[in-house]
Amino acid sequence: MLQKESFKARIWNFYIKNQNNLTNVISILLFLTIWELFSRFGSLSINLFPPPSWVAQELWRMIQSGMWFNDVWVSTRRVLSGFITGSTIAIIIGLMTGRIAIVRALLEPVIQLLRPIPSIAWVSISIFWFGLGESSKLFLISYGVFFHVWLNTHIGVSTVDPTLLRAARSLGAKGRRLFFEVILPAGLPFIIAGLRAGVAVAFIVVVAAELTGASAGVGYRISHSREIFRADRMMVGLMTLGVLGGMADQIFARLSRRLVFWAGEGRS
Amino acid sequence: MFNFNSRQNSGGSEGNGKNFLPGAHVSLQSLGVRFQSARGEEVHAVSDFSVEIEPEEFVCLIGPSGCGKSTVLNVIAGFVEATSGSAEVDGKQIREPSPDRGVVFQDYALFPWLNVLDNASFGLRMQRVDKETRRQIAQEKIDQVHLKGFEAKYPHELSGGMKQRVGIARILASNPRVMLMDEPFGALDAQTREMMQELLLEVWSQYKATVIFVTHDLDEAIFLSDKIILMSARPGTVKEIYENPLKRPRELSVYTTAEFMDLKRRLNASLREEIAAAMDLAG
Repeated sequence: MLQKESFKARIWNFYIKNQNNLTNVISILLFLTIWELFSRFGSLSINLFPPPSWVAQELWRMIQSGMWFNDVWVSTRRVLSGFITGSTIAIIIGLMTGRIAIVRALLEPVIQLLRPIPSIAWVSISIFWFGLGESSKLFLISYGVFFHVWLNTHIGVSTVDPTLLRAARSLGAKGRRLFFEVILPAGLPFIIAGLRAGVAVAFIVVVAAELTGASAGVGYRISHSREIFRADRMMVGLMTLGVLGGMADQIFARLSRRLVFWAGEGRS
Repeated sequence: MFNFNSRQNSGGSEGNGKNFLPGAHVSLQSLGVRFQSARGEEVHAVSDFSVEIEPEEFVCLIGPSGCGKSTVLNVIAGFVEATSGSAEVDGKQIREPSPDRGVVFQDYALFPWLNVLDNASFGLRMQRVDKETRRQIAQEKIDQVHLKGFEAKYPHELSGGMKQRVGIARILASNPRVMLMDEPFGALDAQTREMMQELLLEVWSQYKATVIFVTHDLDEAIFLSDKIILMSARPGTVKEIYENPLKRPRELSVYTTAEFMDLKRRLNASLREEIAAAMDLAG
């Protein structure tokens, strides 16, 4: 009797300790099961709506043939180069529009005018300008990334607590040192939040950019699979995008916790 | 004109064998400050404000809220420009902020990404003092405000009282000749505030910088000051200047002395007139 109770208690303790992990696993397993059942017994053809077991098999085949790694590599390279280009330009311009009145007056209206245009809408014209190769993809992705990173950088450095600036100036900080040692770190939480939003956009735009003029990449694979009627392959692509995007987001979440550990703890 | 002998041991400069600069003379002549409010109205914050603050004097500035106490302080700090009249420190016109005039803020304004030691040595770093020297000086000031052991903590890990001690250590490191304090203990609870007041007097008795201290707490003003400047309602000007008769060093027991209560009564009566005037002004 006593033993039985302690056994129950052990299970209960294990559950409490691993509650999050456990519910995560249950949630995903439940999702996959329902999906499997729906595709096998639902009204949609199993070829249009393949079950997760088929998708997993297709993923395995794609990994074995090297296609999957190649697609991931090509898309990641595009995302990275666009993200780095776009966010570098955005941070430089954002620092200037945020702190230099004349630059702000000249650039902000133009940027605000262009900002609401979805970057996907630029696909056609960018092919016109840059051709079907990598340059149009670089343009589209960096363009999409730019606005998120610019806006956050701009807000971050233009809304630095004025008292903090006064404190710094009265301690002898001015010019470049005031900028790099006070304004920049004070704006850093915003800049990192902008980068996080930017990388998410980069993954959205890369799919659109790969719809035309690509021969590899996760986005290309999804649209090409439609032409060859391979829904299982499309789903591999979708899930790959989910995992890649989630990983990129996690990297920035961690970066944010490490680099701006002091933010979000109230003012000091 | 410079009154170095106003007090025994006026040389904080000699105390501890440290070479402190003496407090500076602050002179405000017919100071006036006007500015545009956010709604575009012109605000006449300070008008015809004249006062001579002697070196090493501890002066408190009190008055109804919105009377321009902080504006006067901001002019001396070099944050706000006078629109008329003059503001001078040791005969030199104030043009911009300087580590010679250290400022302690009500909301601390510490750099949240720097730990206590780096906050305390920030001024020295900006003044290009070498690393070893500034670490040594900052450590000395941290010890002085009784924060030894907290050097590696970040502002968000500190209580309000501790943050403000960093705020004080940070300006002490630059050896200021004037300390400008804008309701520095206003956000602290009563017990912490008393401890900070005692700490401030302790520190000041070593440095003897000229202190200009804005507060709306009469007890605090009387406990700390040599002289209390009472400002009128906006536009703020000098209404009355009170010499503080309390002897130094002071302990919390001065609160119950007849001189303390008499001064408080007089200050209170005069301040109430101005608060009433300020309320009429607000309509």
